[in-house]
Amino acid sequence: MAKILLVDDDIEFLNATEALLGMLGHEVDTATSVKGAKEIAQTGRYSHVILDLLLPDGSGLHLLDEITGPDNDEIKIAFVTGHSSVKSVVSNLYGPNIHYLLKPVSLDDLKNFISKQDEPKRPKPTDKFKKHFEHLIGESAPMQQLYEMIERVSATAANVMLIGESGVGKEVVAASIHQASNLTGELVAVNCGAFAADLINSELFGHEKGAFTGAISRKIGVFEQAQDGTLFLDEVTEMPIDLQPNLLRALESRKITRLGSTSSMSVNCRVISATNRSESEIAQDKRLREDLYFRLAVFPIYIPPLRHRKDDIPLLVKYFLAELNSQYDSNIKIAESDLKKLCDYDWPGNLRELRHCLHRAYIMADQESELVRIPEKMSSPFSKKEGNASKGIEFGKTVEDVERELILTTLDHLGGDKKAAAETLGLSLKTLYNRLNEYQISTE
Amino acid sequence: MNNDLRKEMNYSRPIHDLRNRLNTISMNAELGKMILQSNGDAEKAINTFNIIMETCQKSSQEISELKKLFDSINVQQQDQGKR
Repeated sequence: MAKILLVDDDIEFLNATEALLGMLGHEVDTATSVKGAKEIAQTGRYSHVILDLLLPDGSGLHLLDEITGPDNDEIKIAFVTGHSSVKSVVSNLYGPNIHYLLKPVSLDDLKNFISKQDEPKRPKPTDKFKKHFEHLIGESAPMQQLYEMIERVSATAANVMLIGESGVGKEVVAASIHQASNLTGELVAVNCGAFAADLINSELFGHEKGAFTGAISRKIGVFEQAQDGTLFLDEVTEMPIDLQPNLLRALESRKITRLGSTSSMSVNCRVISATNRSESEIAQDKRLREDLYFRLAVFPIYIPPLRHRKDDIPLLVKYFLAELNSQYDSNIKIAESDLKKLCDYDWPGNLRELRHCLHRAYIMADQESELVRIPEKMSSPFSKKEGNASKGIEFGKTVEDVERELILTTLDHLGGDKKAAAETLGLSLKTLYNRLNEYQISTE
Repeated sequence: MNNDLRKEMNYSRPIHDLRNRLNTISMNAELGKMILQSNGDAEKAINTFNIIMETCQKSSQEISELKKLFDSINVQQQDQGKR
């Protein structure tokens, strides 16, 4: 037996439906307005609610928050409406467990609604991929090292600096550290390069109402928002150097003062910063104060570029394709030959470039064979690798210059592995070492 | 406000009311059927059929109102076309 709340302003429909449901053995309460329904909903717990969308003092939608909630998540709700298009709007807003009854309602419609079990959630195609810390995918050796570092640092409160090329997934790694840390607060992300210089302090520390022209109300800064959680400062090296002392003071004292305030407050959050510049570039270009660098990089983590973990490319390709198939309800796959093409490419744009390449290939997929179409030639206008290659083949350069560049490029490509570099170059290891000494190439 | 939007706003209330009439007719027909199938209470069943007939009458009046609305909008459109 169901306990049903029936809300409709059409008295004759209401009376007939109440009588019908009563004859079917269910307990029925009725209301003709939003106000009346709210009063009744407070006094009883219902298993089913049938709502007219249009009521004299509002909409049935206004009642949803009153009758649903964490204690009432089993309740089944149906809207009575004359428009089938309402269903997609309502399910987008309120989820797929809201039903609807199209006018004119029949007895079978009512019976089906009352006896209907909610459909079990279908597992998504992406659920079968193992995600480390609920975010990261990859089983290669460089990724296993990364996971170990994340696990170690998450057990502490140390600030972390993530160093990696553009597109390697610095924000995803930050989210993984936050996830592994089990903190009560939130992960708050901010891009230090996105703000005008005069707004950065307000973004970081907040301001009081009237602190400056345009400060029409109090603003909570990101340090406060991340209280007991994690603050992610992306592109921290893009912060103007003259504004860095304020950040340094906050990290050292663990106190901040909102602009326009006379008192300071304590803050407690892990700071994860990120940059796509190498440490030597940071120092040489003086992008970051040295004292601030040491406060931010208590535990630096180097995120490997995709070309250093090519073993993960097949898994990543399958994951991105599963996401697209799930989004567009399709079954597009990739041929082995195309997968090999993807594994052979260097991906200067890293995972971001791989994902976009796959998305383009998915859009152009052959619908008959259900296979993506990977272009014959893949390149990026930002590719450093192509730039280096063309640099080596210029008129006026000596053989030694070209050989030096070739050795450097090969070592960089292979992550500094001299044995592999010697094999690739067709040299013995001894010859490679001799060349390195001759060209004074340091590989420390 | 353009003519299409004005038309939609004018029609939607009467159409909504007509759907409600159909809803009432449907539920009372189902109720009448169930009454006769279960306890055979003729008086209650007759009551539901009376409600159905009254609703049909109201629907007929509303359809006439809707027709007048169509006619007045058509006249307005013809007048605008002539200007």
